[in-house]
Amino acid sequence: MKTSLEQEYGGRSKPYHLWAPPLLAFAGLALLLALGRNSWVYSLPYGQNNSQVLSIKTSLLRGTAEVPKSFYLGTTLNAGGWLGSVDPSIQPQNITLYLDGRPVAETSVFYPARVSSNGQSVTIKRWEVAFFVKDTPPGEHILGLEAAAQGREPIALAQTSILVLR
Amino acid sequence: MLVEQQFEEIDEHKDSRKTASSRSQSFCRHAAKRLAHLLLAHADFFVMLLILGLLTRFCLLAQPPIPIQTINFFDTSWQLDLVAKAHQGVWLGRDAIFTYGPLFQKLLSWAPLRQGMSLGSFYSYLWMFHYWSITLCIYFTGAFLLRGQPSWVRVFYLLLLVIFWVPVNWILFDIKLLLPLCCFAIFLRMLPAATQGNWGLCWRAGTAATLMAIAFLISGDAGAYCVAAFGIVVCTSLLYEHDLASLAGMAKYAALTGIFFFGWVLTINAALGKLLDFRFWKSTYEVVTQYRWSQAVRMLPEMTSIFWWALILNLLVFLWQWIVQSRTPSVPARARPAWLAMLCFGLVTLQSLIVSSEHFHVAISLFPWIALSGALLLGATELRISAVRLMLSFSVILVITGVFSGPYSLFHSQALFQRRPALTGRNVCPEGQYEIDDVCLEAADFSKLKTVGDFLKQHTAASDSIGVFPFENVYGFVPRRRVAGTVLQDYVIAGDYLTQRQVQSLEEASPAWTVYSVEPLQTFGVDGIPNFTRTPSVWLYWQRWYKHEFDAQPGLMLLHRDEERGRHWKMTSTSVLARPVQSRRTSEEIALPVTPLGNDWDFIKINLRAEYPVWWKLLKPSIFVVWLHFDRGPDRSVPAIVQPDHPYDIWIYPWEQAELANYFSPNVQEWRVASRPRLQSLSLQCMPIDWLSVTPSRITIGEVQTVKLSEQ
Repeated sequence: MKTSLEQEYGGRSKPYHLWAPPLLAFAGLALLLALGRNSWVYSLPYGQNNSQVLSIKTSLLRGTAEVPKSFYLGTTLNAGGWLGSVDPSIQPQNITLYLDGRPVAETSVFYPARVSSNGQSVTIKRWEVAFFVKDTPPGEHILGLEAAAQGREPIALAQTSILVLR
Repeated sequence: MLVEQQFEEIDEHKDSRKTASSRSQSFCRHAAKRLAHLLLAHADFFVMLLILGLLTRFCLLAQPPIPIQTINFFDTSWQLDLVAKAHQGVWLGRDAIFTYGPLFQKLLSWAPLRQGMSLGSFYSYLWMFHYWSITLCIYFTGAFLLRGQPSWVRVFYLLLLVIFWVPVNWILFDIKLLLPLCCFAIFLRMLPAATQGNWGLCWRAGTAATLMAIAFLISGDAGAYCVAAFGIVVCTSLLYEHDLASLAGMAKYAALTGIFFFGWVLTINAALGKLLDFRFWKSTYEVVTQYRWSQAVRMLPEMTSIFWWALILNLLVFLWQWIVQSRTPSVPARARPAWLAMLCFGLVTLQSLIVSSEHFHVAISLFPWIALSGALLLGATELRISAVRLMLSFSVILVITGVFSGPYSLFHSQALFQRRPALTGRNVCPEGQYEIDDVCLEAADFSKLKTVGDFLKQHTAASDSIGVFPFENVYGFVPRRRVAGTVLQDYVIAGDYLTQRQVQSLEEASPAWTVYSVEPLQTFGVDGIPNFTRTPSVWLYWQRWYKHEFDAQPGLMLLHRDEERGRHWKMTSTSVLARPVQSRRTSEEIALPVTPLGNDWDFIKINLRAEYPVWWKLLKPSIFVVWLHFDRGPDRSVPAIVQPDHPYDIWIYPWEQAELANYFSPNVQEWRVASRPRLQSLSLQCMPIDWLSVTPSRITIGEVQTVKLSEQ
């Protein structure tokens, strides 16, 4: 009596025609499972790990700023962070973002927040700034941050290089 | 009785027992054979059950509280609100509008509601819903596409796709594209022959219409793809079988399907309200069509190469199969139309990827074509495939899978086979996480939900509705308050119809309290478009009738309804455009000739019309950027969307978006920031989002106005 496979392959199949295809198929799947590479979905780009955290340490202001490592022309660049003043009577009033020394965005909106540092609660100010990027040649550029406080010279907070992509 | 006689009787008895025993053995052997045959013939079905069982066990063994750490206030919000609304008797299609339909809402909410609505029950069943819908859809796709092949080939296909290729993510539900894929496989298999009798035509048409109706009830996208699948199958078969009998048969089949579908339309209308009330269909149409311009997302350049790789590989598979078919003397009559239909459907499903080109949509949109290519290699268009060809196909599939993919993380780890409580539930939250509603959250999200939830519980009754701006509906879920608004989340609002429905429903509900998240501190602009610019009518509604009452956290405001404020609220517009502007060089910056703007105003409103070539409907439109030049400080820019081929108003708040929160102050003097720079001039530029983006052929700017808000 012919097996179903023999019937399907016209009854002229060689013996290995019966067992070789399923063996290859399932052994192959098992091997791929054992190799355990990442699913293709995880390799799709979505702009992950594209931020750098800059530490801000001046005589008056402490904090951090998070800016992208790279960004594309025709998109919005977002930067943000927090600032705390060593002297509570002097607070930052404005933060300006510079691209190659040219002011491109600024904010004067700060949100108070409290963080715990060495067991003590400290008041800080959170800020965010964004600008739409165009007319900037692709390549490496310098991104700078500057704070202004009343009655004081502008304070350079941080500077980093950033890659503009087309 | 003689002893001999007794022995004879005993012998006879023994014989009969022997016969009975051999009969029973033969029955057992027969039954075992039948069972083995059944198992072998439907091995894919049993493997599918096994997968479902394993996944269900994995999902349900988690004990609350479930440690989820953070909440996605954007996507989780709508998912949770669907469950909450089902609990409140508010159904998509009848009372609410979203990108999904009432059947999806029912399926998503069924299990969490049976267990008792909470964040914990939602998360327990969320993954189960994902896995079940994915596994069932892929099983049926394989069962219909590979029906002519041995069942172990279908098992291979099922395992290959479920473990290695189907994208599983908690944001996008694969059912949107997998259900149409499954329907496509069914349409292809049950395509009637030219000589099909009336009864055969009728049940086929009835089934096709039912599947299309189900797809629309799942989501507008699924419905549209399902209708496209039907059209593709019918049209491709006509390309190859265009004799009079085939034409007549297909025409009958299509007409009958149309009639049955119309019957379903009326049935759905009746179930959702009135027989002749087509609101469900109108809102589905609006959501599907407006999505293309309002939710278009840029494709990253790195994604472009992946897209082309996928396209080329799939095309190569189809080309290979075409060569095989053309060299095979006895291919089935329907092999070539099936090949063409599969190619066309694979290409059509790329539409989701073209419109929204971020990685979730790219993955799910490429999947149907990948699944069809796999089926094609395994003999979807053939009755019999030789062992050598089969081995060659397996080798190709395994090599491609090995090079480009690996198992989905759940199948890769031991997690699927371990006792889940050991992995997750310990009945207490891990350190640094806090329990709320049967889940564990980190301090930041916990405190937001807790503070807002407690406030709303204290200030509203369980039957009251609340407002949410822009999209954090989860704030209503935790205190079990209904979130007002016909459109589930504001960013879906696009075009006149949806805007009117939303504002009208908010006016009807008039909730006493609204949770307002300030951008950019507590929320973000969807696709980079500020929420005010995306949905100005909704923002203006809240601003008119609501005042700031309580800060749950910096930037997380509770607004209270104030009838007096609404009655005295006034909006005045002043035209500032010196002359209308029309430009055919649409990618250049267009300076807007405005009269001196002064400083006594709050917003800029630009009325324009962007005309696109017709093929934008297959691709996506461009984005607009309004450039603002001030008397001091750096220039600013505000990205905006514009409805193609339709008069549209771009609303701009020229200064910092965060300052919009000031406009909810009870004191009108505090609405404007005192020291804001003066706007000197403005310009408009249209920019392609990516290489799939179409540039308008003409832009006409009819009006630019300054808009002032005040109280009288």
